[in-house]
Amino acid sequence: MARALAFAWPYAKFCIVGGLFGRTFADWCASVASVDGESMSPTLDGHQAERMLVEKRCLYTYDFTRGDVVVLLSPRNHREVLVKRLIALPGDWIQVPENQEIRQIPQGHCWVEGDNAANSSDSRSYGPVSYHLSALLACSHEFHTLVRAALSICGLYYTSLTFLCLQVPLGLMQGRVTHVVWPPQRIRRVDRNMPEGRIMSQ
Amino acid sequence: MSGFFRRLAGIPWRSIAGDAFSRALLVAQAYCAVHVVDQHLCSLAFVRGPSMLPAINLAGDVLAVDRVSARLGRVENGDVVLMISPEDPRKVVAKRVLGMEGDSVTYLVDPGNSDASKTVVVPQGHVWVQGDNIYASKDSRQFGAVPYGLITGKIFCRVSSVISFASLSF
Repeated sequence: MARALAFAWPYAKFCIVGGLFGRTFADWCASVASVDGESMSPTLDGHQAERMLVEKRCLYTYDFTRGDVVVLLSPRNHREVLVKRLIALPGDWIQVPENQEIRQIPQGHCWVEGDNAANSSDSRSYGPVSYHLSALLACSHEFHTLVRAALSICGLYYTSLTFLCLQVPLGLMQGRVTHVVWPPQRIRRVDRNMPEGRIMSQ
Repeated sequence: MSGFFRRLAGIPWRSIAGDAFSRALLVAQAYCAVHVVDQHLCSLAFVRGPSMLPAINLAGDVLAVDRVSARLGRVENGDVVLMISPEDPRKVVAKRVLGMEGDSVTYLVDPGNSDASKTVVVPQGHVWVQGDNIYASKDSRQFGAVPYGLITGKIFCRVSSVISFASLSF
């Protein structure tokens, strides 16, 4: 028994230390995420299994720019992760598309929208995705999903759902998408762009 | 002069570099372990201000924060939580949870001056937080129910009462 432990210990230690390094890197620097759903197409297309690089340096001072693609926790369900474009910062005036009202974004909040706003009704076809231990236990049949779940524990990888346009507190932000890194033919920068004529900044 | 270079060449640079690298690796591992424990398991927080009197001292208390149960969704009514302020994401505040999603919360609109009260239903995915000291607290009565995702930890223990400075005064 002791010999089996002594044999396995270096591998276990390697995995633990790798997990710690990975988690710290994912929290401070950058991680990889994938997209489900269509409400960010054509910028990010869920059907091609695209992976994107999420950088975390913007969280040090919550310094975002209008037009960034951001990753955030859903205000309706804290286990769900959304990918949206940040349209307006605190203090801006925005024209809400549904009911033509003009609204000022309060302090500490921002306005996020999917790029494909016309298609936002059908992106709830998947249930909420949890990137915690329950995900690891539920999908351990295929090696691929096991590896994905293990990486998600390290915070290096998580899937997200996309829908709607919302006013959310900036504290829900989890990172900013800067590049698409997979598949190789789709590697590119994700640029900032803004919808025309909907925002008036302070 | 050449004696100096000969001594320089005699120093075991390779083993010094190897030692330095392994020590640096140890420091990096320790830092990562501390970071992961602090952000995802358990942490200490120094909280001060009047909004949670009498539970939390005006001058400040060191509190132990449990990050796991907040992440698993196990926060309930009556828990004191640490959360990112909805008015300024760089600030972290401590408040008490008084309503979970779906609960109906009744609160005094202006406690010092009138008895008027309002009742709201907490929306899905949100919680209602209030400071214990309702006369001096900026909480859900001002900024509304907050999304659960802003909660970063649940406070379960006060550490500073073990080291008590007040015992020296009389």
